Amino acid sequence: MCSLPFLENGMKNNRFVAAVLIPGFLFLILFAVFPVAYGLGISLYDYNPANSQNPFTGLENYRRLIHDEVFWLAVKNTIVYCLAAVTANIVITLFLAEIISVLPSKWMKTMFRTILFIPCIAPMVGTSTVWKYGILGTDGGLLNKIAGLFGIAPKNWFLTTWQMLLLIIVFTLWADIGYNVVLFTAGLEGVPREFDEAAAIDGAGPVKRFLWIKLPLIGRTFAFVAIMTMANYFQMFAQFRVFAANGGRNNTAMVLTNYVFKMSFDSFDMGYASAVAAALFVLVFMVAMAQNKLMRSDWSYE
Amino acid sequence: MKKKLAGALLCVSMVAALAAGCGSDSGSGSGSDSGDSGEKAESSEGKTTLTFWCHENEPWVKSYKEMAKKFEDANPDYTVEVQDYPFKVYNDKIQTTLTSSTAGPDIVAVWGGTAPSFIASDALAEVPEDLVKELEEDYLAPTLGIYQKEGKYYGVPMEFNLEYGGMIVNKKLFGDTPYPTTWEELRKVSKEVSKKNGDIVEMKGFEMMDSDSLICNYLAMILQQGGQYLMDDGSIDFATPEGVKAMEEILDMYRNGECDLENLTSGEYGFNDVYQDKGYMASVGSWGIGEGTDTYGLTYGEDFEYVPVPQYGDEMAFASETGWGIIVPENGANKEAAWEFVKFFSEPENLVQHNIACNQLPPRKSLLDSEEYKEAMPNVTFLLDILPSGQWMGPYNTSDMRGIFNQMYMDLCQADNPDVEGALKEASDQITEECQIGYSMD
Repeated sequence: MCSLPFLENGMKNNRFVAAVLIPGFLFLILFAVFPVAYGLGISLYDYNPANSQNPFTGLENYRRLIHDEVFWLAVKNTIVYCLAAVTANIVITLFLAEIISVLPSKWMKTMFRTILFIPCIAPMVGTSTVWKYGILGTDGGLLNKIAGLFGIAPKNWFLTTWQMLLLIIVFTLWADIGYNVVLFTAGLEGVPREFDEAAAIDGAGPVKRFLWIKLPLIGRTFAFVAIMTMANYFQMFAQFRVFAANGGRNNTAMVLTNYVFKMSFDSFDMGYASAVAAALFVLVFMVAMAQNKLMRSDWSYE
Repeated sequence: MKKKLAGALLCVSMVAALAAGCGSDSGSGSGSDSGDSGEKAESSEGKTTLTFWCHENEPWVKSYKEMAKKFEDANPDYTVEVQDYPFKVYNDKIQTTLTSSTAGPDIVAVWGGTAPSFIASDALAEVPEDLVKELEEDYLAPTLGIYQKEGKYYGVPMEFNLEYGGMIVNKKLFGDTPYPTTWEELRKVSKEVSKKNGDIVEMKGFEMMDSDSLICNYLAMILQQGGQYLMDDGSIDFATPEGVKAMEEILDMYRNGECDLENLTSGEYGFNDVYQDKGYMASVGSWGIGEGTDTYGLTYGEDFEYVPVPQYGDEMAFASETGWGIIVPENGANKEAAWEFVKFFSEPENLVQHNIACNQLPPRKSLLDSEEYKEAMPNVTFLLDILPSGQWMGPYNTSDMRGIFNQMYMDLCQADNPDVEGALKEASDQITEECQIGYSMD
C-alpha cells in the first residue's frame, strides 16, 4: 500500500481543523441558529408557553403586524434612532480618534482612550438608571438644575416626545463611543505616515489630509465599525426599557426591541412578539447586507 | 508524548471550566439557601420542603416568614422556604416558572391584576372544593372576581385591595388646621397650599396622580354620582356625563397646579411626597401606612395620619380590583401540601394576623367585625365600614387598563384644548378591545 506524505499531512490538518471548529459550530447552532429558527416557528402560533394548547395560526401574526400602528411607529423610531445615533457616533468617534492619534505622548493617548472607554465597561442598565434619576430626573436632576441656573423652569423630560428619543441618543453616544474610538485610533495609527507626510508636503492642510488621505485609507476599519455599530444599535434595549418602558409619550420612543419585550412579558403574547422579532431580524439583515455591499473595499495599502 | 499529555490535560481543564461556567446558578431568591427549588421535595431530615414565592416588601416578607414558621410548628413534617424577588422582575419570574415542565415553587403570592395572564393558561391548580365553599360563603365579592375561570377558582385572596377611601396626611404641615372632611374643603386646601414651578409642583396639595390611585379615584367619582362605567355587555364606557364631569374635575386639579405628573412618569407613589414634606395629602391604600413607619421611619400620629378621603358624590361607592392572592402552580411537586398551607394561611385567625402585619384590609366578611383587627388597626377601621359599598372593577387586566387610562390622562393634561369626551371614548374602546379577559368567568 503506497502512502503519500502530503495527503497524510492534509488529512491530519483536516482532522485538527475539524476538532477545533466543530465545538464552535455546535455552540453556534445550539445557541444562535436554533433559537432563531425556533423563534420563527413560534411566530406561526398563538403561543404562550404556559398554555397546554398553542394553536397554529399560520401567517396570522404577520397579518396583524401589517395593521399594527405601534409596530410601524416602532420601525420608524428604530430606523431614525439608528441612523441618527450611528452617524453621530461615527462622526464623534472619528474626530476623537484623530485627535488622540496626533497626541504627542503614548501615556496621553492611553489616558484619553481609557477615560472614553470607561462607560463601555459599566452595565447599560445601571448607567441608564443613573441617567434617568440623576441627570434627567424631574425633581433634582442635573439637567433641570443646570436649566435653573439660567432661570429656566424645571421640565418633566419623560412627558416629551421627540426630545425623549434625542436624550436616549445622547445617552447612547455617551455610553458607547469609547469602543469605536479605540477601533478608529488603531485604524488611524495603522496608516503609513508617508502618505500623510507626502500630502503635507504637497500643501494639504490637516482637515484635507484627514478627509482625503486618512479616511479612505481606513476604509476597512470604517466599514467594520459602521456595520457592527448599526447592527448593534438596532438591538439596543436597556436604555429604552429604563427611560421609556411603555414606549414614552404616544410611543414616540418605542423601538422594536422594547416592543418585542412588551409583547412577550407584559402581554404574554409570545407568538406575536416572535413575529415582531422576525421583522427586526429581516431589517438588521437587509441593512447589514446593504452596508456590506456599499462599503466593500478590494484594495490594501500594505 | 509529553505534549500530548499536556494537550489532553488542557482539553479536560477547558471542558471542566466550560461546564462550571455554564452550570446553573443555585439559590436565586434572597431567601434561598437550597438551590434549585424544582429539585427539592424532601430535605435530609425527611421533611417536605415547600417553596413560597413573594415579592420584596419588608413587612410582607416578614409576615410570610412568620406564617411559614407557624405552619411548620403546626405541621412538623413540612418546612416552608420563603423566597422574595424584586417586584419589577417578579411577574416575569412567575411566567417563566409556569412555563417550565419541571416543578418550580409550590406556592406563589400573586397580584390580582396580573393573575388573569396566569389563569388563562392551564398552568394553575384548581382550588380544592372545601376551600371553594369558604370562598363563596365568606369572601367579599370584589376580592374573588379575578380568580375565577369558567366557574372554577384558581387563586385565594389574601386581602381586600382598596386603593380608594383613605389618604395619608402630613400632620406637621397641617399643624392645627383641621383635615378637610368634604370634597370642596379638600380642593380649597389643595389650591391654597400648592406651589408650582415649571413642570414640577414643589408643594403638592391633594395627590391622586399615580399609577394606582388615579383610576381608582376616577371610578369612585363616577360611581358616587350614580353613574356606571361597566356596561351590561361587559364593555367599558367612561364617556358618560358622570365620567366626563369626573375627568374635568381631575384635569382641573392639574391645571390649578395642585399636583404634577411626575409620579405617573416615574412610576412612584404620591405618598412619598407627603412623607418627604413635599405634599399635604395623598390618596393611597392602607398599605401606605407601613411605608411611612418602616421605610421612612416616621411616627404615626406625630408625623402623619391616615384619614378618610372626602366623598366626591352623594352616595358612597367605589370599584375595587382583586388584591394579592395565592396561587398553586399545576406543575408543583407538592400540590396537596401546598393547598394545606394555603388553607392554613386563609384561616381567619391566621389571615387576620397577616392583614394586620401588612396593613391590609381583610378579604373575609367574618373579619369585618374582628375585634383583634380593630384593636390592632384603629387607624383604618373607617375603611371596614365602606367595604360592602364596593363593586368589582370588572373582567379586565387592570394593569393594562391602567396603562391606557394613565396615558390618556397625561395626553389630556398636555393638550391645549382637550376633547375630553372624545379621549374618554377612545380609551374606553381601547380598554374594551385590548384588556378584556379572554375567557369566561362563570
